[in-house]
Amino acid sequence: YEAFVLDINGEPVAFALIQELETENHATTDKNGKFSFNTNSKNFTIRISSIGIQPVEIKIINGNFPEQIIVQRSYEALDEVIVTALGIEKERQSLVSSVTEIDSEKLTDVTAPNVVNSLAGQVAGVQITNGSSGVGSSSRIVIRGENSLGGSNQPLFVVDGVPINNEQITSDLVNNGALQEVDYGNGASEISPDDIASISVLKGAGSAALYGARAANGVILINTKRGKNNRGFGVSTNSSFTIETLLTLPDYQNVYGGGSNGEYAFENGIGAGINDGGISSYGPRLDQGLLIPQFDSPSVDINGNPVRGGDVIARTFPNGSFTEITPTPWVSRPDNVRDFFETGVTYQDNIAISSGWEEGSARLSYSSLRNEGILPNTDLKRDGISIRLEQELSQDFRINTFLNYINTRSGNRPNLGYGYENVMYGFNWTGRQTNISSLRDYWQAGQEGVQHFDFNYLWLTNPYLSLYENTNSFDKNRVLGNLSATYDITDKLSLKIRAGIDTYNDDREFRRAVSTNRNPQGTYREDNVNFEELNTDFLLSYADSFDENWNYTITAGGNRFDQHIKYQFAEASQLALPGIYTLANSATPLKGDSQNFEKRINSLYGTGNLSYKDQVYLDLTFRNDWSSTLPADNNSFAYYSAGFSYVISNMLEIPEAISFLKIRGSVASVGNDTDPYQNAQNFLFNQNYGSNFRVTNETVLKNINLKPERLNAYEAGLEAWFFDGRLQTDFSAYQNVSIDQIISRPISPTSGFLNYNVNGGEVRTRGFEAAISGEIIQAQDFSWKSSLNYSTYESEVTELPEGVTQFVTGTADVFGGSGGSNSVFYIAREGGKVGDMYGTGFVEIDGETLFNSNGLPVQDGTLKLLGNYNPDFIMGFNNSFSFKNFNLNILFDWRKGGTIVSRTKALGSTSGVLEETLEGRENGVVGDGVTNVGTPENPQYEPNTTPVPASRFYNNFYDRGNEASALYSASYVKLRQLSLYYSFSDKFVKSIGFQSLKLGFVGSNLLLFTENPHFDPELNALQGRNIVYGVEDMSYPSTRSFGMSLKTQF
Amino acid sequence: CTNDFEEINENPNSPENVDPQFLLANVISVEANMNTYDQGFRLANYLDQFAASVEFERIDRYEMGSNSGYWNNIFRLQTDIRSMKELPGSNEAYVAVGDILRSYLFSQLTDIWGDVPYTEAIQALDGNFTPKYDTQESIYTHPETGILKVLERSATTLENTNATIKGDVMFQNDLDKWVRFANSLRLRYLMRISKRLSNYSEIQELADSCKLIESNAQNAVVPYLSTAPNQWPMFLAGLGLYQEHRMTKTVDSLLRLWNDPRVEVLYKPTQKSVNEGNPHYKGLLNGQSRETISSKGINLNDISLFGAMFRDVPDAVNGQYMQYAEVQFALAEAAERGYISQDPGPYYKEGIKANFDYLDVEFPEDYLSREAIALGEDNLTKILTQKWLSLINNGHEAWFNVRRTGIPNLKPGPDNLNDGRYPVRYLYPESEQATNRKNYEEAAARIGGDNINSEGWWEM
Repeated sequence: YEAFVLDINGEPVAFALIQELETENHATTDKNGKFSFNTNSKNFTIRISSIGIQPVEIKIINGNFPEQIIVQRSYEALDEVIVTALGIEKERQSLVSSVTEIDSEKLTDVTAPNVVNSLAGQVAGVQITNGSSGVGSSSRIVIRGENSLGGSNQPLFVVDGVPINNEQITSDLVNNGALQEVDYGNGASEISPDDIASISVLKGAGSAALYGARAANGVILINTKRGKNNRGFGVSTNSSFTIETLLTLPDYQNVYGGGSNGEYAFENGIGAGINDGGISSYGPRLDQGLLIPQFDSPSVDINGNPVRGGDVIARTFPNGSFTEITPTPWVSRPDNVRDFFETGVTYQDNIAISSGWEEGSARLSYSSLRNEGILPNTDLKRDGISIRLEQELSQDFRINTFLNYINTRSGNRPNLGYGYENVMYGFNWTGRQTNISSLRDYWQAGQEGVQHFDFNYLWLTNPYLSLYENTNSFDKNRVLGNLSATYDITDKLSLKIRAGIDTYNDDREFRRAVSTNRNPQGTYREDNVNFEELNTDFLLSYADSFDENWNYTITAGGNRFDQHIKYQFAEASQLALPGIYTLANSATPLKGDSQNFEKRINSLYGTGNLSYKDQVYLDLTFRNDWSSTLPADNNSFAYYSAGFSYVISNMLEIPEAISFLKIRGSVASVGNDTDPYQNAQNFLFNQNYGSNFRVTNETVLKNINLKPERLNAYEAGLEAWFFDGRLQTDFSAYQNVSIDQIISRPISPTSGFLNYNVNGGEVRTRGFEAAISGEIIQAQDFSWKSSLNYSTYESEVTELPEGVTQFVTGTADVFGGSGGSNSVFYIAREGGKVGDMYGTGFVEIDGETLFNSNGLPVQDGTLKLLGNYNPDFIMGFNNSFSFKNFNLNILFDWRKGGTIVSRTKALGSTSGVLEETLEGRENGVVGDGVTNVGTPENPQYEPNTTPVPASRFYNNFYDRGNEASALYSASYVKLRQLSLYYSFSDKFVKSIGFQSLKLGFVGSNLLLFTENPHFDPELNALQGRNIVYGVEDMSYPSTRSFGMSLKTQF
Repeated sequence: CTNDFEEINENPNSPENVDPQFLLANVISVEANMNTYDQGFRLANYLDQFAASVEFERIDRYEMGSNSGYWNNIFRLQTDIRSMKELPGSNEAYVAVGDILRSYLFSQLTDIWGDVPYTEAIQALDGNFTPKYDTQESIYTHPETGILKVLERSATTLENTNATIKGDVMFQNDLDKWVRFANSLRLRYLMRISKRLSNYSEIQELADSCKLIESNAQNAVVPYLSTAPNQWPMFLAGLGLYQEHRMTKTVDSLLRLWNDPRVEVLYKPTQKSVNEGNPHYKGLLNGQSRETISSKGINLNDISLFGAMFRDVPDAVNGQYMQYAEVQFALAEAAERGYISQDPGPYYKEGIKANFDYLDVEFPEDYLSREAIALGEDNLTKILTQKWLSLINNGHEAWFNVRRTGIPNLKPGPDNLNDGRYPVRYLYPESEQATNRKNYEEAAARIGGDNINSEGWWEM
C-alpha cells in the first residue's frame, strides 16, 4: 500500500509513523508525506501518529486503502508558536531556555479572581503564596527561588510586550498600630483572565535578558485575546458563581470559659466584676450548669428598662454603682467564631464580542467581579472593559492596540496583622463562652455612635464595630494599554514602534469610630496613590537566510522607561464630632505627607537568531541600560545572553520509542538597579512640636558608591517525547549566581543608622525542575491526561562582603509587647541558606529543654537557627479526564518542607483559647525536658517533674520572645482546583442558536492537609509595607470556594 | 541622553540640608517624651514600684526584655545631634548644647544596659558599622572623652560664647539655663559613681558654684501640649493600658505614713470607695500574676489608678530631664554622707518643698516636723525616699538611685520571674547579636553575662 499523509491545509506530514495495530508492521512518511506499507492482511487497523498531529486510527476493510490520509495538527504541536520576550514569536522547538505556556482554557476553567493564583501548581519552579484577606488580597509569585537577599524577588509582568505594574503600593500603616495594615492586592490581579489568550512564564534570566533589570526574577508574559481570524462576528460569555466557606480555623478548646483562676463574673468589663477586665480563658469550666452574669445577660437600666449587662453606661447609677445582672448559663459556644464568618459569594462574568474582516480584527470585552467576603461587611468589586484592535492599513503597515480600563473598589477591606483591628486577634482573646452574635448590636443602649458595646472595654473592640464602622475603603481607576505599529520596510526588514502605559489613581479612606480602643476619639484619614508608567520602544528586525539551510534574524531596538509615583495622605487623628468623616472635622492639626518618586531607564538592545535546518538554533542577546537611580558614573550596565537548542531527533536516528529529543542550554548575565533617591542622605520631616518645626535623619544610610547588581545564570534542559508524543518530559537544571546585590542591610543601631544600602554578598541558587505529562488513556469516548511538575532549589550564601561574618537581611515581628525581644531575624551566614530564620528560645541540654526548679523553662536570649522558610520541593499534579461530553480536571499541589513561626499559636496558647491548652488544666503542666538537681557548678540533669498551673505555664512557655515555641512545618497538600464540565452536544447547541455551551462545577482549595491545626501555611503576612516570609501573623482563615460556571459561544 | 538623570534622582520629598535648630527641637522633644512616657510611665514606674500591673505588663514581674526601642531611638537621636553639630549653620553653642544632650543620652544607655558603644558609636558615616563597647567606668570618667569631662567643657564653652541657638524647646534658647543643666547633670553623675570616688571636691565645687538649677523655673522639662502630636500619650491610649497602672502597696504605705497630700494628684481614690461615698486610696502589691490577684479575692475596683493629670488631660504632665528637687536631694545626700561640708537639712527641706510646688500641692505647715519626715534618725533613708518619690515618671532615674543605694528597699513581688532578685539592667537588644556579634560577645562577657542581674561598675 502507498499513500500520503497530509494535514488539513494539504501540507505533507513528514516523519509520521504508520503502524498496523494487529502486527508489528510499520512505516514512516518521507518529507513529501509519502509512505509505503506492506501487510498480508486485508482487514486491519492502522494508526498514524507523529509529533504535532493528533493520532488517527483507520480501519481498512477488504484492502480498501485510502490514497490520502488527512490528519489534524494537534494543539501542543512543536511548531506551536510561543510568544517570547519583546513579543517575538518563536517556534517551540527553537527555544533555548525554559518557557512554559498556559493557555486560556486552563486559566478560565476555574476562574480565579486573582489571575496569579491560576498559575499555582501549573508550572514547575513557580511558587505562589496568597495574602490572607480573601478575594482581593495580593498573591506573591516567586520563580526559581529567591535570588535576591533584600528585594521582592517578584517577576516582571508584561502585557502584549509592554511591562505593567504588579507592585502593591501600600499605605503607610503599622502592625500593632491604631491603623493596621490593609492589603489592596497586587497589580496584575486586576487583569481579567477572560481577556488572556495565554500566559508564558519565562523562567530563566536568559529569557528575561531583553526586558531589563526588573525581569531578573523572570517574566510573566500575558498575551491578550485578539479578534476572530475569519470573517464574521462572535460572542462568547463566561460566567461563574462561587461561594467561599472556611477552609481553616484555629482549633479552639471548648471546656473552659473566660476568666482567671477558674472565676469570672461580668460587671462593667473593666474590672469591677470578677476578672471581667481580663481577657484570658482560664475561667470557670463550661457546661456544668453554672449561671454567671455575662455581658449579654439581661439587666435593667437605672430606670428599670431592660438592657444588656454590657450596657454599662445605662446601668450606672450616679454614685457609680450598677444595676443587677441576671446570671445566664455558662455554656460553651464551639461555633461562635465560625458563625461570625459569613459565606463569601463571588460572581465573575465576562462577555466578549469578537469580529474579523479582511484587514483586521477587533475584540471588545467586559468583565465584572462581585465579591462579598467571608468577613461581614467586606467586599470587592471590579469592572473592566478591554478593547483589542488589529488593522492592516496597507500591505506592509499594521497597527495593533490593546486598551483596558479597570475600576476596582471596596467599601471595606479587612485589617491585617497583630492588633485588635484584626478580628482574629480579638478572637484569640475571646472566652469560649462568648456568644459573639450578641455583639452584633454594637452600640450601648442610649449611646449610639458614641460608645460601643462589648464584653471587655479595656483591650478589645467589638468585632462588628471593627467591620461595620471602622472601614478601609478604596476606589482605584486604572488604564493600561499599548499601541504598536509595524512597518515592513522590505520583505526582510521591518520596524515596530510601540508605546505602553499603565496608570492609576487609588483613593483610600479610613474611618475609625469614636470609642474604638486605639482611637478613642475617632479618626479619619485619606490616602491617595497616583501611579504612572510609560514604556516606549522601537524594534528593527531583519530576517534572511544564507542558503536554504541557514536562516537568521537580527533585531535591534531601544526602550525608555519612565515611572512616576505620588503618594499622599492626610489624617484627622481625633474627630471633633463623632460620626462625621471629613478632614475638616478634626480636633487637632491634620497630620499628612506627600511623596513623589520618579525613575527613568534608557535601554538599547539587540538580538540575533541563527538556525540550521530545523535542527540547531542559536540565540544571542545584548542589552544596555542607563538607570537614573544609580550614581552618575556607575549608572550603565549591560546584559548578555547566549543560548542554543539542538533538536537531536530531527538530525539523528534515534530509537523509535523516542519521538522527539531536544537539548538546550543558555547562559546569561543580567544587571539590576535600585530605587530612586538612594544616593544622597536626606532629612525627614517630623511633625511640629508646638510651632517648632522638627526634622530628623533617615534611618537608612545611603551609599553614593552603589554599583549595579549582577546575576549570572546558567541553564541546561532536555526535552524528550516518547510514544508519539503521548509521554512528554521536560527537565531543566539551573544555577543562578547573584553578585553585588544591592540590599538595605540592617546594621547595628549603635552605628547611627538601622540599615545600610550596600552592594554585597554572593548568593548561589541551584535548582532542578521536571515536567512530565502523558496521555495515559486515549480512547474513543474516554481519555485521561496526567501531568506532574516538580521543582526544588537551594539558595546558598556563598560570599559575604569583606570583613562581615554575618549579614542580617531582614526582620519580622512575631511577638508583641514593649520591652520583650520579639523579632525573627533573617540572617545570611557564609555557607548558610537564604531564608534561614533566627530567634530565641530556651536553654537546651543535649537537645532537651532546661526547666527551672519552679517548673518553668529557662529562657535563652541567644539567637539560634529556627529553620528556613523555603520549601524542600514543590509539586503540582494535574489530571484531566474526559468521557463523552464530560471533562473532569483535578489539580493537587504539594509543598514539602519549610518552617513557619506562628503568632496565632503563641498568642492563642498564652490566652488559653487553643485546644492544646487543655492539657494540665486540672493538675498542672509538667514541662517536657530536664532540670538541674545538682549545683550550678556541678550540674546534674534529671527529667523535669515539677507541675505548674496551666495558665502560668502557657503564659511563660509561649511568652513573647520564645519564637522557638511556636514553630510549624509549612508543608501541605492541597486539592487546589477541581472542575467538571459538561459540553452540550453540537446538535442541541446549534438548535438553540449557539456555537458551544459548557456548564460546569468548579472548586478551588477544596482540601488541605497540613500538620498544624490552626491556619493555612500557604498564606503570607504583611507587616508595615512589606510582605514577610516564614511568619504567620494572625492570619484570617483561608477559604474553600466552589460553584458553577457557564461558558457559551454564539 | 542621561543628562537629566541627576535631576530625576534628586529627592523632591525631603531636604539634604537644614538649619540645626530643627534638629535641636527634634532631639529635645523626642527624648523628653520617650524618657517620660515610654520609659518612665510605661516601664520604670513598675521597677520603681510607683505602678503595679494587673496582668499584662510583665516588667512588673521582672521579665525585662531588651527595651530595644529605646536603644534604637537613643542612637538615632545621637545621629541627629551629630548632624546638628556638623551642619553648615552650626556654631559652638550648638556644639556645646549637642554635647550636653549627647552626654545625657549616653548616660541613659550605660545606666540601663552597662557597657555600651561610646567612643566608636555613631560612626556609620565614617565606615564603622560595628562599634566596640566601652566600659561604664571610661564612659563616665575618661579624662578626655568621659561624660563628666564633656559636660564640664560644654558648660565652660556656653558661659563664654557669643553664639546663639534656636529651636530650644526646653530653655527657650537661654544658654545660662543650659549651663545650669550641664552642671546639675554633673552632680547627678558624680553622685551616681560616688561609690567609686575617693575625692569629692568636684561635688563641693558644684555645691558652692551657684551654677546649678536653682528653682523650678529652671527645671529641665518640656511640657506636653494640648494638641496632637504633642499630647501626653496616655491621654489617647486604650483604657486597658491605663488600667494596667495601679497604685502600689509600696507607695500607698509610704504616703500613708507621711500623711502626704501629694497622693491626691498622683493617684485617684478607688472607684469602690467613691461609689460608697468614702473616697480612699489603696495600692496593689507589685509582681502578682492575674491568678494570684484573683485567688486572693482582690477587688480591682478597690485599687487606685493614676491621677487625673496622667490620664484625663493632654497637657498636665511635663516631659522630664531633671528638676530642681532632684538637685537639692542630691546635695542633701552628699551633705549627709559628708561629701560636702554643708548641712543636709536645708537641701532636704528645699527639695521636698520644690516637689510640692512642682506638683502644685499645698505644703502642709507641719509637714517637715512630722516624725517620719523630720531629719534625725535614718536621715539617708528619709532623704532618698523623698527623692525617690520626686522622680516619679522621670525615666529610670529612680531605679538608678534604688540600684545604687538600696533606698527605698523595694521587694520583688511574689510572682516575679527573676528568682526573687531585683533586676539591675535590661538585656542587650537581639539586633546586637545579629549585627555586631563580636563586640556584643566581648561586652557581655566583660559585664558578667548578658542577663538582668549583672551589676554595673558604679553600683558595686
